[in-house]
Amino acid sequence: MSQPKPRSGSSLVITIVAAVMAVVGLYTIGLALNTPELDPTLQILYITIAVLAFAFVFLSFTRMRRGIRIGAYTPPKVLSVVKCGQCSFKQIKNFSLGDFVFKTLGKCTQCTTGDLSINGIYTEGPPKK
Amino acid sequence: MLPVILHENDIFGSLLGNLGTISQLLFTVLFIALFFGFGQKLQMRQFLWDIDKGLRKLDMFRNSAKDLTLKTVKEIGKPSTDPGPQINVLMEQFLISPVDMDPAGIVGKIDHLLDVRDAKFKEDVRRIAPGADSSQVMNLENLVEASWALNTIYRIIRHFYLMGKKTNSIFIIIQLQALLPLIIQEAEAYLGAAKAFAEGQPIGDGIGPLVASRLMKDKEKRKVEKDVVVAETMMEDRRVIALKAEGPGGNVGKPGDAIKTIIEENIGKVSMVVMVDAAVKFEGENSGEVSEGIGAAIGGIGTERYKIEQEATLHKIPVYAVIVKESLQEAITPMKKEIMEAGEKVIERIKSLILERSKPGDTIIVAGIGNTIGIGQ
Repeated sequence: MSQPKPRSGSSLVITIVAAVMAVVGLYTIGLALNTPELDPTLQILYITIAVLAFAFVFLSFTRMRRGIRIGAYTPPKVLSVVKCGQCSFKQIKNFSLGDFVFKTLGKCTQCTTGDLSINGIYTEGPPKK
Repeated sequence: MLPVILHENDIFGSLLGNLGTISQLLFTVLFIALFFGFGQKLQMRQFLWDIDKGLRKLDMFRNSAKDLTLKTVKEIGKPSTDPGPQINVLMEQFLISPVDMDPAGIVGKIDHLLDVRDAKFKEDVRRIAPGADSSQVMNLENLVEASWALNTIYRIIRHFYLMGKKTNSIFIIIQLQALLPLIIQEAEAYLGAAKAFAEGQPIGDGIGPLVASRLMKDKEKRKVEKDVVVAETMMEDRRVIALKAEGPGGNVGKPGDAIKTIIEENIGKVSMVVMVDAAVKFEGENSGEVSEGIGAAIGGIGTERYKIEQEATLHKIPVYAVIVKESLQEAITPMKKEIMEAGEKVIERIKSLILERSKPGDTIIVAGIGNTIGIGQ
């Protein structure tokens, strides 16, 4: 049985309505400010319509920005710390499939006697904003 | 530009002259109609948009996790047939908790159910991925569980969303909208966990096993109970028995049973049990902070904690807890540097605890609790 999917496309409708409202707002504010000898009552009406239209546009965009802020998941960079059991050799490399903590990787290239093993695996995480 | 000229004497002009009054009345009626008649409806519509957006995000998460599971099973498990339908069956799996009208013996019942579930899950994964070794089967099992969690979250949220829409209940919608950011955060963490499980990377919850494995490094290990390894070491002239779940496959083992067995092996002559685990921090606290307390530091449904508490009470053994603070997201995603570095601080805390609370020659159990994925011994 197919599962009902949530409705989509609401943001497109809001964008279109917001665009129309922006045009209406600009037009009425133009009327209010540029019409010579305009009656003050009519001027107030035009300004009211413009304020309402711009308020709608502002609210629509702040709503959208809140949605976008959730953001897409980005996998963190994972690093493996390789250390020698005998000498001070230490290397930090990118994690590769099959790595695990205390996995032996062979002989140390620096002292040639000690065993190299993964001492830790960690992620730095995304940089703090 | 529209030429608007007012003529005081014609009808149009007088109408426009009264426009202020008409518009005021119109706005008052509109205001009352919108905020008293449709206010709640408008608010609900806005909440529904938010939930709809969140639900689409959850759907994307569960699909990503499912695709990752399929890809990993095909790569590691080398199945001869398409594993998709079998994974779908696993995604819908459920557990019926035992009757609790008569609570006596319920821990045993839950423990038995969890054992059966665990064995079945493992067997199912092994069948889907015949080419995987035991460690990879554990990781795949964890991966399927993460996908299952995402699928379940999506199904529950969709249920309440549709229910709220159907019944027009603003209370369901408000609650859902209020909780959704937290739920999305958790779902995002599960997606991170799925990626970590697919590649076998240690997760934040693995700090307990990491500390235990550092204590048991280069020591002789033996297996006790289900998937738990034990090694003996000396620390400040005390005999320390360190235990952790067997790695590097994703596994938590049964530390409750293991601690019980070790106490019985030592005829109750254990001076203290120290449990090391990751614990959820409060907002504002730093990740990787180490803290100590009293009691069995172990999460889960409570069966393992029950066993430890029972055994400790029976033999009058004090149980201490050393915890590493981290968020829920950090606990199930790849281990952060500050959490890994907290391991050394934990060992220092254990040493000072041992010096303060025991005598030389005493036997001490140090249990590293948590998922040991990506951590060997």
